[in-house]
Amino acid sequence: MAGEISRRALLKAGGLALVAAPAAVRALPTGEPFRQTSDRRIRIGVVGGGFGCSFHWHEHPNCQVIAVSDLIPERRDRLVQTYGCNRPYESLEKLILDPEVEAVAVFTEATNHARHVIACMNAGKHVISAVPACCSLEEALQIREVKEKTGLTYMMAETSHYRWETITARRLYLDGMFGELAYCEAEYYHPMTGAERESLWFRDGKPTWRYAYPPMLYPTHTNSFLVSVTGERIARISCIGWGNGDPALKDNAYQNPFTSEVAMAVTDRGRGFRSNVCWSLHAHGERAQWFGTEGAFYMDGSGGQPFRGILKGGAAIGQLPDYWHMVPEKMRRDSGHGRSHPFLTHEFVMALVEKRAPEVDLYESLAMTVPGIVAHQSALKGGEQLAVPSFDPPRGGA
Amino acid sequence: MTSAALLLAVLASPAYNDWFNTYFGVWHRSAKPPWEIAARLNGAGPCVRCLVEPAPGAEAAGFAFGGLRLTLGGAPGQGGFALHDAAGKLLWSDAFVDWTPYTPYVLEAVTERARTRVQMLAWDGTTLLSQSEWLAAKPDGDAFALVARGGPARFYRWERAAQPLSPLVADAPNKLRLIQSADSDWRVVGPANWTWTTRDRNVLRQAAIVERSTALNRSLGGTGGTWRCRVKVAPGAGGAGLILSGDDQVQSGFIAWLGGVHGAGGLMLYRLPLDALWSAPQDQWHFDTEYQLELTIAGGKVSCRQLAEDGATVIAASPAFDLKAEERDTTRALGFMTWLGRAEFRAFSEQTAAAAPTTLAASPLGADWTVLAGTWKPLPNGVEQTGTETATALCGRLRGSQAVWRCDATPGVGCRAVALVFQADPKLAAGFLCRLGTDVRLEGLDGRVLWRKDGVALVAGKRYRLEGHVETDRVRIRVLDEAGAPLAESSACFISDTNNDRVGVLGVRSEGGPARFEALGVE
Ligand SMILES: NC(=O)c1ccc[n+]([C@@H]2O[C@H](COP(=O)([O-])OP(=O)(O)OC[C@H]3O[C@@H](n4cnc5c(N)ncnc54)[C@H](O)[C@@H]3O)[C@@H](O)[C@H]2O)c1
Repeated sequence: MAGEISRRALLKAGGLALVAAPAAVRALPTGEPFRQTSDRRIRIGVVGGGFGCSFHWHEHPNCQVIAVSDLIPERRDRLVQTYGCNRPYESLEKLILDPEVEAVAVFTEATNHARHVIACMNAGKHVISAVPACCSLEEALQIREVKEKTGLTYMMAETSHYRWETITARRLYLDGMFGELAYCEAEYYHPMTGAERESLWFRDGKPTWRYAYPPMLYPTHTNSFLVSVTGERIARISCIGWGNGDPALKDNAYQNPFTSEVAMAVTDRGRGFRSNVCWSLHAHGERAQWFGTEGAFYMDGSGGQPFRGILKGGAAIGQLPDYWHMVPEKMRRDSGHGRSHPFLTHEFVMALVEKRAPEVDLYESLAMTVPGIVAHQSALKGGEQLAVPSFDPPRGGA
Repeated sequence: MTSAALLLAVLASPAYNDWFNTYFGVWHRSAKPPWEIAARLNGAGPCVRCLVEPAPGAEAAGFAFGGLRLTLGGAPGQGGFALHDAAGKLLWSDAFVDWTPYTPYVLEAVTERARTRVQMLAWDGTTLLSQSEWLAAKPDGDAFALVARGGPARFYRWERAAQPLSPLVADAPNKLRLIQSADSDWRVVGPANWTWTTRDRNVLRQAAIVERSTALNRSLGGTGGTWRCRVKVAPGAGGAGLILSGDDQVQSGFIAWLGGVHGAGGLMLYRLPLDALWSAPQDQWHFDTEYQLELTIAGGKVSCRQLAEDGATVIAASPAFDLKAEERDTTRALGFMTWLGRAEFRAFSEQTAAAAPTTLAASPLGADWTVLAGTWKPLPNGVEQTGTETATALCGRLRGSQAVWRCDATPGVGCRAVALVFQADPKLAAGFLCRLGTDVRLEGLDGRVLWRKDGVALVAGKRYRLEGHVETDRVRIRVLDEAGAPLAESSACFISDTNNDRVGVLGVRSEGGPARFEALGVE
């Protein structure tokens, strides 16, 4: 039975059999119901008591939260409470000195991710980082350098990758149900107006990192809908941006004049991809639609768009599959972002247990993040089409 | 050679280019032959089983054992489960069992002497979905192969076992299906999967994703009166309605129809087959929400109404239209119709001409309120619970989604906790609590504690302001004292993003004793 096959033998067999489908090598479908195969428990430290409280580290049979940290005491308490962990540290910088911590979940501000990830890796810790991976090309280079130098595991907690519609799109793509997948449109709408603006752009009356944050520096939710499904890379990108008259656009840390940015990209396979990230449109949520030569697949959306796939050979899909079997039983609940949180948790833990690269490893993460950084530059230049540098290892490399 | 090595050797052969061995199982990637791949079973016993995950469009996905072939398959989106013999002859099938692509199912065959029975279960291996009786068929030998015909499929955990996952049962879901049971008064028009979802056969569900399907019941019709049913349209479907059909093919008669924009449409009245007489404004019916439909034929006229789940609030009511001369004195059959998807119907019966039962009891607090337990009375600016049981009351008029929800609560002597219930589903299936007891908690109505603060406890006779803030996919709470000073303020807790646009109602709860709730609001 398949369960008896050693991993090395499998990869070899996969290599032989996959001659016809090289794109699939990266993401062989694994849909078997979870069963625990190892007693190993990854000792994780969780940093960031906001979004960082919405994961399932303490519920995974192969993981235990042994340390938590936030600069803000109440948030630290909340981490202690959420994960039932009684080892709070005042800062990430102190937490990473704890020799028992093997891996760190970095859920700090987007603008701090690169700095914090690098500090963790330099301290010998594996890292899962909230999105985006970084905010500049220089940071991208630095993270790659430290990751390659240390050989530690890096994963980005990209929720779109594990939205159930994306898992489905990935399967449809691998199964050839699109014919040739030719075009994808992705959008992330999150109006930063009214109460939402107050609650996310300010904390204790002071601006947070989200205050007028450039939309395209938050590009991974949309780019993931392409990169996570086809493994394609965005090669060139052109972006337009505009503001909504919010006074924050005149005075912010990013000198950012835009609340909405819409990019049109060309991929390394010469196909088109549209990516919208907008803080000021009357719509909400993250969604995509994928168009192939023989099939198309649509996520539902806040505008009432239905979930539907009209696929190769007249096949159809009208109901979201059930993927709960893939994660440990205790974690089977929707804790946000299209039920992705348990899957993210599970993948990072299992990548460490199985000593393999996680699905959203550093190269995938930078392939989702870097095009946004370049897109924002393009928008500042009035939409000029710019080349997107590759951070992938040379072919045949790591 | 081990079975694994055997399988690897096969997979490495060029003929099997589209069969892949993955870390966990086997994947047939294409719609191309070969359709079968030999594998060896581990384990021992009379049961053969495998987890099978069909892709959309799979014509057959399952396994062959001793010449018999047990597969999922059928028209796309319609499900199906069948056993064939080696010559391809159909031995048994359940043409209507539903399966969703990319969801694994356990297929199992149990052999005993010269007979075999087969069953299909959900991936948990315990939820029975379909089951045959014993069939006069016996596998010939031990050969085993995975089967994927017409479309891709994935396979996990093929094995033999000593015990079947389910014994033979009298009420297997397939035995509850309308067209297979002894419901002889029923007639189904069009492709469909009409199933009773309950053992006492009082909720009828059309579960197939098909263009149009109708189920008619002659014995529930008549010439005149008011017919009612409860209807709930499943996400993605185009609409559903209550029919009075004058013929077996649904070409004459009337239908009260939830149509228009999918999931946000309005009530329509049609003369069958396709003559639209009237339609209500859009955005008055939504997926997964129960409504009561009524169709009335009286005094030579036909009309229809749509009522809310409480069975009392009228959402839409058509004018009465004249019947044509040839339509008078016609006996019609009651029926239900679905369009582009699934819907559920209930609360119809021989007594359907009488009032359908309402789910909610009359409220001592007036029509706006639903009292789920307790002894309540109205106050000029709110409500009061005087009993000692845990008691919740919901105000249907105070509705909202993303908003600040609030009330002022004054616990009486003996009261253990007071709570603001916010963005609540009327049946408490979803929503949140801002609860002040011996601590402050933000709880989901599913009982999960999202946030908690110790050190703040209620004091009888004091007045507190309880607030729930719903911000897209995050919720938070605040508890303030009478002077407006915050006693506890939670951080924002991430919740399912299905919550983003869900409209809920406001409610209040007291535990263990009396409490007053005033200044209720949603802004
Ligand atoms: N769908 C998604 O993937 C998704 C959703 C929400 C947030 N996020 C990301 O998650 C991250 C966190 O989001 P948030 O809303 O909680 O942000 P936040 O700004 O509210 O919280 C960041 C927290 O990190 C803490 N922190 C910063 N530096 C620290 C240090 N050196 N040591 C200890 N703690 C430190 C801060 O005190 C703060 O509490 C952000 O990067 C955001 O982009 C992703």
